[in-house]
Amino acid sequence: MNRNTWGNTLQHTQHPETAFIPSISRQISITPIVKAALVYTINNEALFIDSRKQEKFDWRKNKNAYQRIIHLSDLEDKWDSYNAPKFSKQQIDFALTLYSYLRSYCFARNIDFARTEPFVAPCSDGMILFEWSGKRFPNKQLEIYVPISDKHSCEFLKTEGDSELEGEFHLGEFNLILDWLFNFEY
Amino acid sequence: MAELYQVNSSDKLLRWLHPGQFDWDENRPTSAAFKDNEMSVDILCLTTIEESYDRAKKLGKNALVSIPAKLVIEKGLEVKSDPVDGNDAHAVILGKKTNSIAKFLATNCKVEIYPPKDDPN
Repeated sequence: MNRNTWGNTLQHTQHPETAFIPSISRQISITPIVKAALVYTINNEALFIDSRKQEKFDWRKNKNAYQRIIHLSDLEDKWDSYNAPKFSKQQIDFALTLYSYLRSYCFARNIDFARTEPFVAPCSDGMILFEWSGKRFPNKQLEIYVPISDKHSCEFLKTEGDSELEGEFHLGEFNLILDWLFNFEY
Repeated sequence: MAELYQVNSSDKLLRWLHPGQFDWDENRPTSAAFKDNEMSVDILCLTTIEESYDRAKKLGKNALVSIPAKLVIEKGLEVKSDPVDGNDAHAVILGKKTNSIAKFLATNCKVEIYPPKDDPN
């Protein structure tokens, strides 16, 4: 059995402070943070780097919805300097499920996901906001709120001109809400 | 004991935003910052925008918006002075923030200070 260890990984380095990672064909510096982020597997050469732990996430610049959901786990209790609670793994998993539904929906409807990706934001009351608003969505706007726990339903707020409609929905009804937003008619 | 300040409709209220609650490309806050049922703010006439912003920056926040108390009161919410250690201007906006109200506050607040997107601080 070929068991990768830190020892034989470092044997192939050119410098003691670096390691060559075959899966990405790169020499990387082994800082304590990188060392903590590396996960190595048994029986193959694959090495996976959890890059999100290497540097602080930039909430200002990074608008990628998936990345923003993942990095909600970085926020500790009182992350808003007021009383916001931290996000549970279960809640983040559910947000990822919604994200996955959204991607599948766009694929099925032949909609360009990059142009319709929501803005994801942490809410001060502990919910997670998926927002389709601002300059990209001048006509219809949608806000989806992921609840704190599965004891609560997801919430939505649809806005079109001066008209607003808010309510709750289950995952199975998500497609109908997206159909409204993207003007999809059967 | 000093009497608590009575908030009136002509007051302005300051709210700090976490960078994740602000759309930096469009320079606008999102509803995510206005959801908590007991929402902390500073009363502007008891502090200054700069003082409030300094407190926010020390806590890692980097945008500051103002909301006219009149709009909050019109939505049926209560604003109550609530001085805390080191901040006599602190107040809370009490009442359920429906998704519609949160969006209303996000749309109608004024962005007072936000650093450039590339500002490392």
